[in-house]
Amino acid sequence: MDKIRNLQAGTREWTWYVAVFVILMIVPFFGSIFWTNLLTEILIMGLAAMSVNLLLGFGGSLPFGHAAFFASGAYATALLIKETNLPFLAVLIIAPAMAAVVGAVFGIIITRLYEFYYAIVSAASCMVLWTLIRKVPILGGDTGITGVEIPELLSSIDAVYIFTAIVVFTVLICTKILLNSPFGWIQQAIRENPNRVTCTGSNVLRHRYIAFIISSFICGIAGMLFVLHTQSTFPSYAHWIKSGDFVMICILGGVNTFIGPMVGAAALIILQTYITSLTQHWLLFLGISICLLVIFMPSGIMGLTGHLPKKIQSFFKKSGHNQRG
Amino acid sequence: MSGDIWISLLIAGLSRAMIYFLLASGLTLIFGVLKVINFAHGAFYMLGIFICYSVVKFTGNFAVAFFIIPLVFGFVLGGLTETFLFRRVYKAEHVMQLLLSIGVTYIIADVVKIIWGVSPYSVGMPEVFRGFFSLGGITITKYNLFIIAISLATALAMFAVLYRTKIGSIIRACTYSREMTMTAGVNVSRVFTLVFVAGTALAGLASVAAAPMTTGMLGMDNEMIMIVFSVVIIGGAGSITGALLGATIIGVVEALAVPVLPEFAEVIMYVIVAVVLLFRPQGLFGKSEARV
Repeated sequence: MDKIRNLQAGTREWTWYVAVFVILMIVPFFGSIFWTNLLTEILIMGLAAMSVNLLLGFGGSLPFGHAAFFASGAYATALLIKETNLPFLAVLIIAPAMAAVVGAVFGIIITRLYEFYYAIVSAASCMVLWTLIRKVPILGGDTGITGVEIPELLSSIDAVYIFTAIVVFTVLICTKILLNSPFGWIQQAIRENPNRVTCTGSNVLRHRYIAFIISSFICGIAGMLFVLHTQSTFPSYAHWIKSGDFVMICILGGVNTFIGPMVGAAALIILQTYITSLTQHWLLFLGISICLLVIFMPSGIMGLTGHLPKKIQSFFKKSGHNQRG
Repeated sequence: MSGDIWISLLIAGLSRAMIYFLLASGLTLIFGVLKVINFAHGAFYMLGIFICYSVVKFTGNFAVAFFIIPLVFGFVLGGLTETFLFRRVYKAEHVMQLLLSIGVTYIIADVVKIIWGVSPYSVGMPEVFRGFFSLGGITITKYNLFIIAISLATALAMFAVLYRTKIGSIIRACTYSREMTMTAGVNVSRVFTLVFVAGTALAGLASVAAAPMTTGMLGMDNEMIMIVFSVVIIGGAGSITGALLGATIIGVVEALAVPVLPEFAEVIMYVIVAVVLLFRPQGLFGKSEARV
């Protein structure tokens, strides 16, 4: 009986995804460049935050260094397009792979650590990249790389948007499948209790390492998409503050849910666009909001669904088979 | 290069190291007792430098700034952030504590921007400390010696308080078990506030000490906090001896690396961190339980 109910909930969830996807596909036809740009950014930031949430919400780690992988993906894309004659499709695969390689190197040290050590060392790791980017001439130094030429096919704002939406949704679905696989269940079990997972015969260290690489790969995809969107890269992409933003997006949306980061990205970016049009002091506003969020609303926007009418609430309940117990 | 220049560099590096130590000891003291890593510690440092600039400008006297700022800093800034913000998240998940301190960083960064603007400031070197001693070919600026002396005195005072007084033993008891200390009739909550105030006061002291030899500008907090984190990681979180050793390693290596590899001095620091972590994940003086 439970199984059938789960299946039903699952179908309903997929319907939901398809509906959102179709709505997103229609957006460019309204012809608002502002909203198309905003949505592109939301999707990309949401994807990056989701890769963070893979480790934060589902793995119980404190990844404060994902800016490194975002920047790796971005810089790899920019450099491959500018400096080599590789076909565009190859770039699309190699760039995230480069982020995964960077993840594999940093991961050797980071995934051995827990708690605050994990947080600090991952933050330090993205500062290594930040320093390198600013000092190595081919990486553009302080000014970054600008004027990245992307193929004719993707040169319009709408085209980039549609491409982004397709890639983001594909990755979302793959991640969802991954989280529902034995791999995903072990990932969540490690969050609850690494020692018990060891007792069941799984190699926790290797598992954390692989999850770290997958997460950095996804974050690399987000970085790559961002270059297609803005056609430039800057050293600030690798700064630990950027990683803090990703974590903040996760918490804002709700770490206990799969789509929380997407919701968080939408909320944060819309708010940011609105507030920066009013005042210069966005950072002050953001800082105060973070304090209020952490103290009064730690389960994020998705946590507010508990206050909705029962009927709607049941949707979130059933789809939330990966909610933290 | 001759050996004399290296020794001069070494001493300059040591004085840098002492600034790192003052900051790291505050951070590690707070971590040891409260089990909270404060990302805003770098922002406190930046704020301190700007305040020092204003105090010196208005009073024209560096000594006033030197004694007043750490006290005001500890009791006002530290007291307020602990009571109104950090106290509420001790029992929350760790990510909440980290995020809260990032929020504080943002607020301080923007407040500094509102009050002092975006242009860099520097505090002039006080008259007493201008000039240098020279011994043969070795030149040592007076101010560097002063910083080293002040910091070592602070370190001694910290050890004295922690290991020779009653309040010190209470603080150390809190690092072992919060619950047990509470059972012994100690107002743990007050101890936490006290430790946070002390840690912030140390950040204030570090910023006043660093003010005459650095330029205060926006964004310096984010770079400083990474150096301080590296110091804490190398030394082992929660250990003041570790902070002293880690700071010395980082400061001296940084100073000696500048003539050899000027561009990548910062990278060398991270390499040291990586090497230490590979062989001793808990840091040189850390306890192994810090891992889990």
